[in-house]
Amino acid sequence: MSRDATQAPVLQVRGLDLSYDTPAGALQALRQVNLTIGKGEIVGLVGESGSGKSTLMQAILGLLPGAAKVQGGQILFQGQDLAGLSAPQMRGLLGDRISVVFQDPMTALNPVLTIGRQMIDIQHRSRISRAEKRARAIGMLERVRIPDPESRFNRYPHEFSGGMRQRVAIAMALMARPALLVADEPTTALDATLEIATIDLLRELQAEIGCAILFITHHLGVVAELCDRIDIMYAGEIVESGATAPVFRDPRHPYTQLLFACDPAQISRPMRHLPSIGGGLPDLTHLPPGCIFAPRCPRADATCRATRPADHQAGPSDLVRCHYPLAPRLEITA
Amino acid sequence: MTPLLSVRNLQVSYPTGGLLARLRGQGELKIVAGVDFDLARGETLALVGESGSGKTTLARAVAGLGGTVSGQIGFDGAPLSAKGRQIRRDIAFIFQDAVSSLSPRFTVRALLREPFAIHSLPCPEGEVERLLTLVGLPAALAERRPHELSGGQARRVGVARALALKPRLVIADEPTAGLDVSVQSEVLNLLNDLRVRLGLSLLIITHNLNIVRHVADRMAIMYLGRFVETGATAPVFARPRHPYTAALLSANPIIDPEARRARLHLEGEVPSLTQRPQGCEFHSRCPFARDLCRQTPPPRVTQGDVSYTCHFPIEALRHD
Repeated sequence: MSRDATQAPVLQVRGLDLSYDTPAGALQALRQVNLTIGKGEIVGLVGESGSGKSTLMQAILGLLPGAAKVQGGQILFQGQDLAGLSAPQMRGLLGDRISVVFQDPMTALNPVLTIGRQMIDIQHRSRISRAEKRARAIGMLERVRIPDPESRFNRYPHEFSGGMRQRVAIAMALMARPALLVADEPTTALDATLEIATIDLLRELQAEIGCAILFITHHLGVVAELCDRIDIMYAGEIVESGATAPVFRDPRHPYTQLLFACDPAQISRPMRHLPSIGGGLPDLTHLPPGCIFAPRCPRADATCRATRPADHQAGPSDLVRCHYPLAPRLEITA
Repeated sequence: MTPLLSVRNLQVSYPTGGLLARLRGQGELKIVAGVDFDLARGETLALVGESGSGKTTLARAVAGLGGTVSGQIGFDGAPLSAKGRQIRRDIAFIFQDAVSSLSPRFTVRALLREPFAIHSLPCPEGEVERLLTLVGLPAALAERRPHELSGGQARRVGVARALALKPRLVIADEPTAGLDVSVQSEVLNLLNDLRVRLGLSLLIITHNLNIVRHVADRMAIMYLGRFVETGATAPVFARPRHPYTAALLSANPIIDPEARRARLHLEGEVPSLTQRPQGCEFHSRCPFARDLCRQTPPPRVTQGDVSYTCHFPIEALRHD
């Protein structure tokens, strides 16, 4: 999906630098992160453990722990810099213009309050009667296919199955018809059949409400199914970004190519020996001088080890942080 | 040649309810409701199913860990129960949560020596280093404690511990859950290499169909504690007969957006084990259920490499 340049993006992260204070020194968790989410777009943010996707999410939501320091850059939500907002202003946005669905619905829902009570409480901003709030909540539960919502309205979270709880969490997040929904691994804890059902539901509700979604996951298949665009993170940087289908067809960054090649779902012929990337994440308190991926990159040369690459537009990708974005694809064997 | 592991009509139940119900003989929840399978030497069998289908309970019963068990489990031609403590050396278990299955107060060295101590066996000089090398870890790791290991390293220590006493069957419960894809392939390659090198049989429990296709010789699909379909991996993937198998396969998100296949949607939720459906137990979620399915449990049908329990097996996956 190509971008409509006339539409102002819902969220724009520009040159974000963020570090954590650790006893070993500053840990550079995010470096020059650029991320754009257009109006009504579904953007998949993919990365392995330690890639910084959760830190980026926390930065967007203003939920960073005390040790985190934003060193530079901007997070613009509908043109407004979130970094400049006071805590009450940020609270005014969250749950209203920006909503979140977390990985584990059991911890997101309050276990000692009924689902109904929580769904009414979350509408505390709207000036409608309690009966109307109740009706809206039941309507929303119906929309997320909770069977018999009237009778389940006064049930507690533990009385729902895992899949239903996640659908309730989605219903609550979308009650305020936000402009941006941040979904942090919302299907990771679900079984495959439920995962697909949840994704179908998200897509359907998104089309209806028209909100943009930032979908954080490590599951490439889900991104391919759901997202318009994909952003791939590695060790605190977004290394590649573009429209989903073309990037899957022709990834330009060596990390993206290796990541795709390692996914057993991508390998059509059954094979006993699967490819892997080899090596580990770099120490983010002592960054290598050149490209962050150079120590693991099969193609790295002296330039890669000495100089940090800039962001390039290459092939189907809008952003490739590599010195050689147009190089032929890597030959990857197990 | 007799199979290494031979399981016949295995049932596992756990007590539920109060004392009164138990005295009346009602307080039993049947988690595994009669399964049969063989596992040959050097073979890999994958147990596939959703949460609550009984995969882990079945595997734990095979390893002699918990639950009330009826039916026969034969290991190397003799009943499992007759083998005493030796069985704990022949069957090793790799637990699902690698980090929490390692005692946080032990170093890796102590963890790897523990199996020998438990069986009052001498731990040979250099054995810890040999095991670490076997699973591809540097020997220097021996002095670390579990919290100093990455997820992949902890998983490898779990594998090394399982291999310490030279088992003949290794049961791996979700060996790659929570691992990143690049590390996942390393762990799977390791298990496969060890299987070939040491002649192990592997029983892998997973809900990740993508890995099954690459690592397993045969697969068994579980639903409500029974096998609904078993067979060699390739034919089951190519042509699933049971609608549940087909639904699981089609729920697997496909990367190539152009090659998406027709999806089979399941209705409703997994029924409660306390109220198993009449007839075919899958009928409450089956999109093709007919009257016969609601009344009569389907027989097991065997065709070549594949066997399944369904009145109206799928002829071929329809492509849209």
